[in-house]
Amino acid sequence: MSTWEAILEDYLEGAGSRAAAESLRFRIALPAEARQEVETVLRLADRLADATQSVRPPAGAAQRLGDRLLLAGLPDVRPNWVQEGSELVAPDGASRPGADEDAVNAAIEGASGLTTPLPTIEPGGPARDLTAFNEIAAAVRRESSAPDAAIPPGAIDRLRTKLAEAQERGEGGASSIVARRILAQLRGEATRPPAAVRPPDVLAAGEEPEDGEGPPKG
Amino acid sequence: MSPEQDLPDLAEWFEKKVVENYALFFSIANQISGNSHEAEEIVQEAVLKTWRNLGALEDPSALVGWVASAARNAALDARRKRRPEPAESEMLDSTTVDFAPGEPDDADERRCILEEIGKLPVNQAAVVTLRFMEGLDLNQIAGRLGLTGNNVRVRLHRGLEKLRSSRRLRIAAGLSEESD
Repeated sequence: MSTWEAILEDYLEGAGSRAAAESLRFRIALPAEARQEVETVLRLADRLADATQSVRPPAGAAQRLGDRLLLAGLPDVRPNWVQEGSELVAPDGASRPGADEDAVNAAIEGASGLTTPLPTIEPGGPARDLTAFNEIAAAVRRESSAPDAAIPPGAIDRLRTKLAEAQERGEGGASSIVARRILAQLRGEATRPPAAVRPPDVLAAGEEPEDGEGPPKG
Repeated sequence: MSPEQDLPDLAEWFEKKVVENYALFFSIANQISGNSHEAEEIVQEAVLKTWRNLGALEDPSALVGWVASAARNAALDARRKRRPEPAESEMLDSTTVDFAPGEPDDADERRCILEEIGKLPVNQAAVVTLRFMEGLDLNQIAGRLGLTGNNVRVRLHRGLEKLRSSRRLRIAAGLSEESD
């Protein structure tokens, strides 16, 4: 990743300053495409901040919610958490939020040492596409010679189960296309830099938003 | 913890978490609803439902993401009950939300951008909202959502990439056309 890309990425992630990102505008040697990218990222960040900050909860809304909670009684089932100091924590063995995604990320990035930036690889959302995931895992093993032990224990089995369930519910889709594109990314065949600020093909158009976590609907 | 000892503390802990993250929950509901009063009702119901089902939550650090997801699902249900799925062109007309003062065109643009954020998977929408609404960095967002920093980074970039690939958002935000 070039310096200007790193500066833009730091800015988007909140680790770098706006001034540093804006200073890229004055770099004489920056290619036209990079200059365009700088302007796009700055504008996108401005518009997102403006839109999200424009929404204001009605006055007193949080207080009204607190009042309703006071009258809500007790939970139907008491959580099985434990207290550590002033914090409530999960008991040993409980699944951590985002653990499955972390497992896929680790399988792709940590175990393989591949240089393709992880955010450009969409392994079927939070693991909804069986074929794509199997091909990812196979590609990681093939290309990195990483032992299976480098992937978190049980991660692939858990994901495979989830993916199979998703497919049974008819949530699979575009497997071969997504898999091919992911493999192309893994093999370094993608030709659309910079990765962090260009939409990758694997974010297939028309993909329905999906709630990957949280309580059941209804 | 015995049941007699923990529940008062649990209620206090829950309320504190919910109030601290109220703006996020409201925004998630509002991105889909577009109506501030309905969004408030949606968040109230989602929070109360989460409280009643709290025993199903394995890890308390997942609470914020859980409520956000419940709010989003409730907002989608409310929208389905209220009216059929709007056509693309009709979605630009929903401007009933309370916005900060600005030009009329600003309100349309903002509404469009919020709707596009609302189309993201909720785990990405929550990260994008916290990043740009509250200006949090990756570690701060990770702390709020009980995630790893790397997970937040991936969600943020995937969300941003999806937004950039949205033609509606590119037009509303005045971004240059990109090839899909």
